[in-house]
Amino acid sequence: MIPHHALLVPLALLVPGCRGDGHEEVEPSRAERLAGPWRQIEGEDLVEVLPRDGIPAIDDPTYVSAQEAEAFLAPDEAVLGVVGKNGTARAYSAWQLDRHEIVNDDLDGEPIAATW
Amino acid sequence: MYSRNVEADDGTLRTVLDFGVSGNLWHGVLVMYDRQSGSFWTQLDGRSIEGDYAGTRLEHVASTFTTWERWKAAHPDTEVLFKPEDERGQGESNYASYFADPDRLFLDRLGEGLGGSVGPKTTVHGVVIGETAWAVTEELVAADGAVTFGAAGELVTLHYDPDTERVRGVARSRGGDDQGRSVRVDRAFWYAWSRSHPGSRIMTR
Repeated sequence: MIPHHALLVPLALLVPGCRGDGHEEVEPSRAERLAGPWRQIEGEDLVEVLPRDGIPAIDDPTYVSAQEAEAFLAPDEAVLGVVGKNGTARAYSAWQLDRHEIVNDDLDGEPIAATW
Repeated sequence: MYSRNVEADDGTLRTVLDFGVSGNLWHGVLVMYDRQSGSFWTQLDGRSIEGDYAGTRLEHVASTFTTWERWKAAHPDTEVLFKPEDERGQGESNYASYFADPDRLFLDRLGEGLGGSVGPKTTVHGVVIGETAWAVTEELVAADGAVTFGAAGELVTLHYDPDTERVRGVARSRGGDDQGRSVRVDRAFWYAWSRSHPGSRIMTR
């Protein structure tokens, strides 16, 4: 199975909106060699880099308190935070979003996809 | 962050979708798929690009990308996602593995701090000096025209050219008279730069 880190290569190379000399722009044929088969949707390359669910989204999130989270979150560590309509605050560390990409969650009765 | 509710044309709830990672990239950005129909959705703006739901947009849910200490200060009762299976061992060494993981994403606040101004899709200009990666937000370098910082014993200046919207980098020794050497500058989304350069520092306004 292709490791997750295979995503680092195409993500690092596919620079947003870059045109013009001096900027790194990946030609489709090169993207193909790097990451396998490709086709286009709406004129833009769809690059297949991993099998479906090669990165597992979280479907049954569990949580700890802020105090418990102190054991594994550093003060300057990146988190994505959200507040529900009833005031429930929830944080997802960038480390975990990197590993799972998507968390299918429910916050104060609203179904949300925590992703970045 | 998106709502998983999909509305019908009359505004009533049509269905709730569950999302997975398709394994594809489109526009260099992750493509999600919903398990109900298999439609593809771009993580870029929550729009379905192919399948039964093509053209449908997921509603944005307001979220904040910040540091743990700032979020905790603002929301002391916050819950934090934790999945036991992400631990690599048993016992207290589990937490040590978090700190040792090179993929952890740190935000190094220089100057006045981040607030909510840096997100995963913030455009940055990145350089590598010695063993340290630095990123400067486009907003900062475009506003100031040039940004200078010290790195690995050198002074690095990023110059913004408003006509071409390109950034060039020059590194010169501190206190030296030399013209400096050209350094490579890469333009990228912050999340892509930080993933390929774990521990990269970032400067913003």
